Amino acid sequence: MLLVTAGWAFAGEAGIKALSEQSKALSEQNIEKIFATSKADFKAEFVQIKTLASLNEKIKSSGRTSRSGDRLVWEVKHPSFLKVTMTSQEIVIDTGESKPEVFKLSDSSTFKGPMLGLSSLLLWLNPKAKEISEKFQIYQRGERSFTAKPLMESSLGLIEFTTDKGRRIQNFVFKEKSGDEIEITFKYKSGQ
Amino acid sequence: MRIILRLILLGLIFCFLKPSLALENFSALRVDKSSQIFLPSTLRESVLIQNHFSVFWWNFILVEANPWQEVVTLCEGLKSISSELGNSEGVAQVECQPRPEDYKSILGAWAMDLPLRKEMPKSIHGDLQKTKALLSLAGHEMSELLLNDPLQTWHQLRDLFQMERRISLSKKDGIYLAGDKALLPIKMSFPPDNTNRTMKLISSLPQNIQLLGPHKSYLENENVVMSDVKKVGLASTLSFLGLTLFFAFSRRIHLTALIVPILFSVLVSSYVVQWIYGSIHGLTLAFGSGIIGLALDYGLHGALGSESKHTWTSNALGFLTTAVGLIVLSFSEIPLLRQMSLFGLMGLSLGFLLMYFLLSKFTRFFRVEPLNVPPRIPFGLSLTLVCVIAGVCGLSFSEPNLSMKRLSFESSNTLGKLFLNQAPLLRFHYSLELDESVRELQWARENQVAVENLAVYLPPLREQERNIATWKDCHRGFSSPQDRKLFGNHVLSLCLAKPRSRSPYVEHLISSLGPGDSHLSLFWPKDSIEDNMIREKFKDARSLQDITSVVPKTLKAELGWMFPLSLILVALTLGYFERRFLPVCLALLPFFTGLGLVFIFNWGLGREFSFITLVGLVMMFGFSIDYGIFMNDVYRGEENFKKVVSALVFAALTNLAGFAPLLTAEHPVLKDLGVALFFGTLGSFIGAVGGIPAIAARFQRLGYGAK
Repeated sequence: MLLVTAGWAFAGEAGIKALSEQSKALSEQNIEKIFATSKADFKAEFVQIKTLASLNEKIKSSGRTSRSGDRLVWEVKHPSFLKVTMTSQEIVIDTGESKPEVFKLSDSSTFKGPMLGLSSLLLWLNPKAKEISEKFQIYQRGERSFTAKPLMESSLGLIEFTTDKGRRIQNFVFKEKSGDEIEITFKYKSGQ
Repeated sequence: MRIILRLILLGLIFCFLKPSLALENFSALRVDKSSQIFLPSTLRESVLIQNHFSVFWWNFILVEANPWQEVVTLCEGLKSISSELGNSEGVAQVECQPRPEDYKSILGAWAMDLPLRKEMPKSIHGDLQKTKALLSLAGHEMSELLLNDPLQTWHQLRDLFQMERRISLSKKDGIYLAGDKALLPIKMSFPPDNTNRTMKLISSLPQNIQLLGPHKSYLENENVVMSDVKKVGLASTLSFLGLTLFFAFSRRIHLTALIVPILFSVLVSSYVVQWIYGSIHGLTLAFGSGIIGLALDYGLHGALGSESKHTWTSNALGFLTTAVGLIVLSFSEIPLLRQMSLFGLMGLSLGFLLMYFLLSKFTRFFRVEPLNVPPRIPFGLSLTLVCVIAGVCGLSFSEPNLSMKRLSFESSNTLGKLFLNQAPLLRFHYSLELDESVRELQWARENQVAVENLAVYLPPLREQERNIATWKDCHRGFSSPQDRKLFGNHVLSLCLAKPRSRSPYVEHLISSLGPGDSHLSLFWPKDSIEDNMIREKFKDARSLQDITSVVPKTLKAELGWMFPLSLILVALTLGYFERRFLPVCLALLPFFTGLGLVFIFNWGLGREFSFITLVGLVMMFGFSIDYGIFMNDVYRGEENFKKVVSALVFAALTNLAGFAPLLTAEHPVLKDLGVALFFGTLGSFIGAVGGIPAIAARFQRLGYGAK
C-alpha cells in the first residue's frame, strides 16, 4: 500500500516537473479569461468520486450544489444527507440530525485544518483571478484542460480541471500528496 | 622543629581547605540540588502533583510574534520532535496549529472506548453512511481521522480537551497571542524535577524564546542554589584567607591549625549525612561555613584559657546550649532544616571533641597571648540597652513573612497572571474508584461549573459493563461490501470492547508513581463566586496556592513552641550548672542583643523577617549564650577578662568570616540565614563584651561574683 501511495505522489511530482519544463504558468489576465463567465451564480448537480489510496477504495457520492454570491452550498444526497455551506468566513456542516457544526476560518481552532480542502472548493467555484494566481500556478494542458499547482507547501499535490464551452468548470480533480484523490463532475442546469 | 611543625600544619590546612570548600565537586559526594527538600511532609502532595501528574507538565514558550513566519517555523519544529509516548527530546505535545495526527493515539483510544461510555446507537449504520458522505469530500488527514473514528466521537474529546476554556488569549493561525508575543503551550514527557532533561531541551530551542512553567522554575531554583554554593564557597575561601592573614600579622598563625579539625568534621559530617539521606543538599553543604565558625569558638577559648581548668567546663556548657538549639531545630517539619541541624550537630560534636583532644595534647603549641583589649567598650551599656529594646519590640510587634515563596527562588511567577482567569481547584482521590468523580461531575453539570475528572471521560465499571452489553452484535447489518471494508474492522473492535479504568486520554489525571493509583479532579472556576461555590461543596478542594499556604501556618505553630522550648531548655541547663538566677540572665543577654541588632538591620534594609531569619536566630540562640557563659566566668573570678574577651574577639571574627559569605547569596534561604547569623553574631558580641561587664559591675557592688 505504501508503494501505491508513493507511486501516486511520485506521479504527481513528475507531472508538475514536466509541466514546468514544457509550458509557462498562466498570467492573472489569462486566468481571468478562463473564468470570465464562471462568476455568475449557478446551480448544478454533481457526482463525486473519492479515492482512498490507503484502502484502494473509491467512494461515490452525488448531490447538488449552488452558488449565490459568496455563499456555496454543497448538498450530498447519496450515500447520506450532508449539507456543507461555505462562505469566506466559515464552513457549516449539517448532517440533518444534531446541531450543525460550525468551523470559523478566521480563528483556526482545533481540528479545523482538515476541513480546509472544502474551503478551497469555494475558491474554484467562486473564482477570483487575483486570489487564484496568488495561491496557484496554472498551466494549460489542452484547449479546455488545466493543471493548478499550489504555490505554498500543503498536503495538496495538484488540481486538474476542465471547463465546458461556457467556460464553467466541468470536471475537477484534487490530487493529494498522500495519493488520495477527489474527482467531481458537474452537470449544470440548463439556462445557466 | 616548631617552624617545621607550622609548615606541616599550613600544608594540612591547604589540603583540607580546598576540597572542603569545594565539596560539591567531590566525586564521592552526591549533592542534591532539588527544591523538594524545602517542603515539609504536609506539602508532599504538591510535590506529588507537579512530578507525578502529567497534567502539570505543561510549560509555555513565549516568543516575539514578529516575524510571524519564525513562530510558525518554531511551531512546526516542535511538532516534528514531539511524541505522546516520550522521546529523547522530551516534548510530548505542542499546542499550536492543531491537527488530528497530533492526537492520533489519544483519538484512537477514545474512539475504541465508545462502547464503555455509551449504549450502541440504534442508528449506527445510518451514522456510518453519514461518515461515508463526509469521507467523500474530506482531505487525506480528515479521511484518516474518519476511518479511525467512523462514529465521529472525536467531537466530544475535542470539546473536553479545548484549552480555550482555561486560556483567555486570542489566536492567530491556531497559535495563541499574548500581546506582541506568541505563546506556545508545550507539554514535557518527563517530570519537572528532571532538570538535566529540561536543560537539554532548552539548549535545543532557539535563543530568543522564553520558557515559563514548572520545569523552568525547577531548573532556575537549582541553578541559583548551585551558583550560591559556588559563590559561598569562594567567599568562604577568601574569608578564611583573611582570617589566616589576621592571625599571621598578630603572630598567632598557629591558631589557623584549629581549622583542620573543623574542616575534617565538616567532611565527615557531609559523608554521614549522605549515608543517612542518600545525598547531601547543596544548601546544607554551603551551611558548612557557618558550622566551622561555631565550632572554632571552643578551640579559641581553649587556646586563650589554657591555664584555667574551668575553660573546658564553660566550653562544654556552651556546646550543650548550642546543641540544644540545634536539637530543637531538628524537630522542624522542613527536611532541609532537619538535615542542616543533623549536619551542624555532628560537625559541632566532632569539632568539639577534636578541639578538646588537640588542645589537651598540644597545650603549649596552641597557647596564645591575649589581645591588648581595653577594659570596657565605649557606650557598651547604651548599645546593649538599644539592642535589647529593639529585640523585645521586634519579638512583640514584628510579623514574620512565613510564605513558602521565601524558601524558593522563582523569577517566573508572572505565568499565572498571563492567561489563567482563576486558579484551578484540585481534589485528590487515592484510588481509581469513580463514584466520587461521578458525584463531582453531576454537581458540576447542574451548576454549570467546568470540571475535568475521570468521570468526564469514563463511567464507573458497572455502567461500562451495561453499555458494552448493548454492543454485542454491532458488527451485523452492513449493507454493502464497501461499508464492511471501510468500517468493518473498527466496528468489530467495538463489539469486543472490555471495561477499563485507564486509557491514554485520562493518563494526565492518574498517577501510579505513588504508593498506589490515585487520580486528580480539576475544577476550573470562572470567577471568585464560582471558586467559593466549589469550595463550599467540596471542602477538600484546594488550589496549589492553598497547599503552599498551609506551610506558613504550620511553621508559625512550629515556632510557637520551638522558641520558648529552646529558651526553657537552655535556661534549665544554665540553671543546673550556675545554681543562681543572675548568671542565667546574663548568659541570655547576648542573645537578646543579637536579636535586637538583627531586627534593626532588617528594618533598616527594608528586609522581611522570614521563617529562615527565625531559624537563624534559633541557631544564634546557641552560640550567643556561649559568649554569655564565657563572660560570666570573668565575674565569678574564674577567668581573666583580657583572655575571655580575646577569645570572644577571635570567635566573633571566625563567625563573621563564616557567615559573611551567606550575605552574597541570591537564594532567599541563604541570604536570610546570612543576615540573621552575621548581625546576630555582631549583636551577641556587643551584649557579651559591652553589656555583661557593665551590668555585672553594678551587681558586683551588690555582691555578685563572690563565691
